Amino acid sequence: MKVEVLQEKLSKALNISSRFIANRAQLPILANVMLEATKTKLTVFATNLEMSSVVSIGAQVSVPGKITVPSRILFDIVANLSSGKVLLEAQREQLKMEAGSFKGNVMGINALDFPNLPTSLGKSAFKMPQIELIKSLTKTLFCVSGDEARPILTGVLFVFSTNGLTLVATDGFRLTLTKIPVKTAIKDMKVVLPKGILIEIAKQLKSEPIGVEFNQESNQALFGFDDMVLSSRIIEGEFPDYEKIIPKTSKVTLAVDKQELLQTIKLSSIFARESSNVIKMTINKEGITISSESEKTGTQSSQVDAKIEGLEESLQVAYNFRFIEELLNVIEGDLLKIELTDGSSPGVFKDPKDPDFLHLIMPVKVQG
Amino acid sequence: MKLDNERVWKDVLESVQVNVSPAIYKTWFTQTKLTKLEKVEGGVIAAEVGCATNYVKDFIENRYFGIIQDSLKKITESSCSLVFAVKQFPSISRLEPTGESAPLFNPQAASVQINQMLQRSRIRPGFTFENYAVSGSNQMAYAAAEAVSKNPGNAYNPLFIYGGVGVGKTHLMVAVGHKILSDNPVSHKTLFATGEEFTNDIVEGIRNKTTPSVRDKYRKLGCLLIDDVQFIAGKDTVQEEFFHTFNAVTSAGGQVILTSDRPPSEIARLEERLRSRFEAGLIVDIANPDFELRCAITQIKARERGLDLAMDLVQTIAGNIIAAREIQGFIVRLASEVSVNNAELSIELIEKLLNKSTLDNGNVTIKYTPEDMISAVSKYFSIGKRVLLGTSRARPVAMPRQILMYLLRRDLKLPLEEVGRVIGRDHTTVMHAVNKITNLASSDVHISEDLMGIKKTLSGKL
Repeated sequence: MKVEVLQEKLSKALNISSRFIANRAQLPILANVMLEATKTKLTVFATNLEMSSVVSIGAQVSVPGKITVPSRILFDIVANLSSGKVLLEAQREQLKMEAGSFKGNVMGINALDFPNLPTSLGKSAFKMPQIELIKSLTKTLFCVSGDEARPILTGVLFVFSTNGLTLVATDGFRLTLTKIPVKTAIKDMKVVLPKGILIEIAKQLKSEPIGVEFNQESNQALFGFDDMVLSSRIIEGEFPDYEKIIPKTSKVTLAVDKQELLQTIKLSSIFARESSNVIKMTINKEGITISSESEKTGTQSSQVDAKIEGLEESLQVAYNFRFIEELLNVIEGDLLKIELTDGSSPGVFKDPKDPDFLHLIMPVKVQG
Repeated sequence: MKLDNERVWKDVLESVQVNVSPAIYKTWFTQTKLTKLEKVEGGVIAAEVGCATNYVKDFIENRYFGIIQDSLKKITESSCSLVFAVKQFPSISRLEPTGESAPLFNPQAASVQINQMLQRSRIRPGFTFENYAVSGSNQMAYAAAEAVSKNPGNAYNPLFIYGGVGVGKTHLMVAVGHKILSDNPVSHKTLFATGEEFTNDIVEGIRNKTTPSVRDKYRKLGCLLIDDVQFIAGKDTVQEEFFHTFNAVTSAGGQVILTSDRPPSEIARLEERLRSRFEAGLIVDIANPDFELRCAITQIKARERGLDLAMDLVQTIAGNIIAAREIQGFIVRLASEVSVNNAELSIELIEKLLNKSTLDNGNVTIKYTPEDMISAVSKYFSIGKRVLLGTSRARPVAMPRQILMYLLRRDLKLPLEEVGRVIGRDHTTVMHAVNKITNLASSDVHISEDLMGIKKTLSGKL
């Protein structure tokens, strides 16, 4: 293989690829990226066996061929080169590099042992508008569980129906549901995609629609961008019945100013941090009192104005403040709507600006 | 021929492992499973290999098809057709997201919160009524504690539990706190503290000038549990503070439970007004566990450690160890012996460990000389020393002599040879005697009574 590419493009491609490499790969070759030169393209392959990326950049190819080299090292070298042409030449199991005055030799591994990665989408692929998808993803991803003991919750549920696409994520304590009103070729399907690949998709800032393909047989999801194909496994298993736990009715409805609530939550978090993140919300006719206490450092309480409907007697409910903080970060409008029933059933949080968004948080049971 | 998927696949993987590097084996093959294995027409076996992801499937199918087919052929002794499929293992995906860590999908199970509350109340989760064994020696205390847990603040207030080391005072007190918290978490704010911690809090409060916050911490409680309350005796300010705390809690309808190593009337330098308040409630004592209770404790502790002890083993342990904590320690050692050294659970193992555990127990100071022991035994059985150490092998003499050897060996930790020299016997005779009494101590009530009696005689004499 002998090929000439531009540093900026190669650096960008390696940047994406490096995020698809496992941190601690047991097999040395899995810590490598594969470079393949064909006709007019240099393609960078990377995988951690959960997901994969295949990124192509324009190149001047003198000798086609392929080689794998350690991702970390190649990425660090290319990132530190000045922009301009970079010459890459494979000599047996070494990659010779030249750029300006720089000359380097990187030890690699024969590309034969590198796994096969999907490079293009099949016939059943369909298009999805990117901006809406990314917007919904950023509102959903913070809710995904990191608990590997329950793999099904480490992904986001995509529900395709005739009305559009619904995304659901939960970690068992809270749940987010967003809807994207798009018409897709698929009318009735549910898949759970891992968090990792969705984070990568959410990072891509391009306006063209994304090509999407789900391959049930190989249990794989493919995403096509114009010069890049990402793939991921699909998480198997039964996603918990989210429709059942969304409260159908509520007693009390609150409307609170987002900024004011966020500021108050931040204040109360100072003490709540030391008592398992619990803050108490007491709702009475005057508004919401948010209080927190720590045995070591002290106590606080502050009042937030709110428009309250349906309140008969004062209501107390306790939450993990981080959940509310993270929720407020994705609310678009100035107001947050909260619907409560009692102190022990999940509270429903809505964004008046975005009718397609719904969030549930399970209250914490506290003493006294 | 019945084919066992798991076993066949294990055999296949083992033979594959020989041919590939460990890293390759770990990366690729540990993510596979035999999902289907059936006989089709013509004696051919159709096998389906499930791989966790498509990447794994692709790689193995392209690279190791031949190796896998070969070893499968050898193991099943017939020709095989091989297919690969992407299948996540059912064992992984079957884990239901219910229970402890997903309250959203299981609002009834609030055990996480209970645990958090227990933590805040500083109550150990393991101490509950369910794993508290009851027998004659603690029947009264148990009944009182249960009554308190059902009706906190009203049944007996304060409840004062006293007893020796390791009889289960703290367990019982914490069990009450546990029950109160899980029944009614909101109205009964509970706190567990030792007498010493209470003292430290007060001292800290005085030093940092934060006495009001210390008062807040204790006086607003719905249930106050103080362990080893005798530690506050003789400290004037602390006693005064405790007096007010006590009054504040009880007058607001809160429950106070105290434990101590002796009854209030015997705690020296305890202020009169505190003593009278302690005595106003119910005072119950817990005696040392009797043989039956020790058996029950042994069983409970063994179950916690996942050991399945037969009744005769339980009795051997309970017959030779008096204190409940020591029983726990012994079970821990037994469990580690069984799991680490793969030792078989048997009466021999237990006897071996019993000897060791008492010999290793270096912190027990030897107070008695062999002469003391000899006179104690001779006094207890009313046998002359000369007869006891003489040559007679008549049963009324031989048995006390064996008991004497057992005591010299176990309690004074003399070497076998030395015991033999004192008694005027061979060391093998001593070994026989010690083993015999170890066995009898668990099965024969008289022997254990005799042993206790001799120890009493000894301590009474000194």
